[in-house]
Parts: sequence; structure tokens; C-alpha cells
Amino acid sequence: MLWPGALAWVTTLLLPVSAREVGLLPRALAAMALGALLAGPLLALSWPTLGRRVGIWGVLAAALGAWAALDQGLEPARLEPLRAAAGSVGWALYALGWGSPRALGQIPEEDPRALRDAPLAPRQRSGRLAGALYALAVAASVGWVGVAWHVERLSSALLAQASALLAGVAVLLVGPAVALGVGRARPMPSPGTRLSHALPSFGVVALLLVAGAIWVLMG
Amino acid sequence: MPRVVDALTVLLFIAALAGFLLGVLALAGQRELEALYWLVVGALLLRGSVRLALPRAP
Repeated sequence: MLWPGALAWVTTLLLPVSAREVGLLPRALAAMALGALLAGPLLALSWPTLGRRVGIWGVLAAALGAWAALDQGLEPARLEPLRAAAGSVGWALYALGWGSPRALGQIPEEDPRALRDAPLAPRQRSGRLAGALYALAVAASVGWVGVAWHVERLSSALLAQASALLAGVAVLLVGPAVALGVGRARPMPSPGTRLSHALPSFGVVALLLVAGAIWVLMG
Repeated sequence: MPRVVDALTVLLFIAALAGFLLGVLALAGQRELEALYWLVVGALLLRGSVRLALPRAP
């Protein structure tokens, strides 16, 4: 985890704070981030919990503080795409490096807490519609991010990326619930009850659609 | 009747996806107010579809 961490630190912290006009605070925070980045894995050898806290949260807090203190140093116009991409990859690999994969040769069934009885039978199988709906949600999430990449104006581009990501995460979280909830065999409340639960959302949507139609007609 | 509500759930879910798409497209066209409108509509449609599919959802 040290190599990707070092790459991320150099590309996203060292280079921005090396500019002549940058003050002492961002530099000190960047140095703290480096200290935490190096100390975390070392501490984790003896005190795993403390090491993880320093290596993950300490680095994150110091890096966020340094970026916040940079003021205009992180404006989209001043970001170099290659450096930003290298930094993103570095941070992603650093985060993955703190993961704890299972040891080689060890299988989950050997865990003393594992249930050794016959596998539990699923209460119902998800149908084709569920699969199709979730595939649609995944495709839409990816598509929105693709559309957001085509926004040319910088200020809108960041907003478009954030909106596309948020919408994608929301749909991916909610998609399985909708996909599995439709056509389920287990007892459900009556259709009237289901409709009444969704009524507040429908009411606001209806108001918004009417307001939108009026806006279009008057505009 | 349950099948009709299920069909409505699917329609709302697809409409929510379309709402989000229109929102992102409006942002691409630098129409921020319109984008906000469609993103809010998409979010509400998504919430409505969840409440129909899982009435006890928070």
C-alpha cells in the first residue's frame, strides 16, 4: 500500500503544495499526511486498530485539510488530467491496500462460526423481469456518467459528474429493491395500501409536472 | 389489481431513470434550472417506485 500511497501523495499533495504562492498550512498538512501514510502500516504491525486509524483516517483528514487550505490550488482549470488520473488510481489502490483479504489456503467453511448444515433454500427465485430491471439500472448509471463526461463547461462538468454519480448510486441501491419487490410471491399489503404509501411522492411529482408544463407553455 | 400496481412500479422506475437522464442531459446543455427540475422529479419517482415495491421501506 506504500507505493500507491506515495504515488497519490506526490501527484495530489506534493505537487500542488510545491507552488511558490502556497502558504505554510497546506504544506504542514501535506507533511502530516505523509507522516500518517508512513506511520500507519508500521503501527499496524503491532497495533492493527491504531495503525488502520492513522493510515486511513489520519491520512484522509490531513489530505482533506491540505486540499481545503490550498484555496484556489484545486480549481478544475488548474488540474492536469494525467496527474489527476494518476492520483485517483493511487488513492484507489491505497484504499484497496488497507483491505484484509483472507489468508491463502483458508476457506470460509473452516471458520468455527460457519453453519455446516444444508444450505438454506431461497424463498423465491428472482424472475427475468428482476434481472432485466437491474440490468437497465446498471446500464443507465453507466450511461449517465458517460453523458456527464461530455459536458464541456468546467463549472457544469463537475456538477454533472456529481449528479450522475449520485443518481447512479441511488438507482443501484434502490434497483434491487424494486426489481425483487415486483411480482414477489410472499404476502404483500393490498394494492390500495401500497398506493397510499407512495402517494406523497406522486403528489409532489404531479405538482412539479404541472408547474413544468405551465412553465413551458408560458415560456 | 396487484399486477397493475407492479406494472405501475416498473413504469415509475423507468420514468425515474428517464428523469435522471434528462437532468444530466440538461446539465450537458448548460440548463442548470431544468437539470435541477428533472433530477428532483427523477428522485421523487424513484422514491415512489420503492414505496410501491416495498411499502414498509423507510
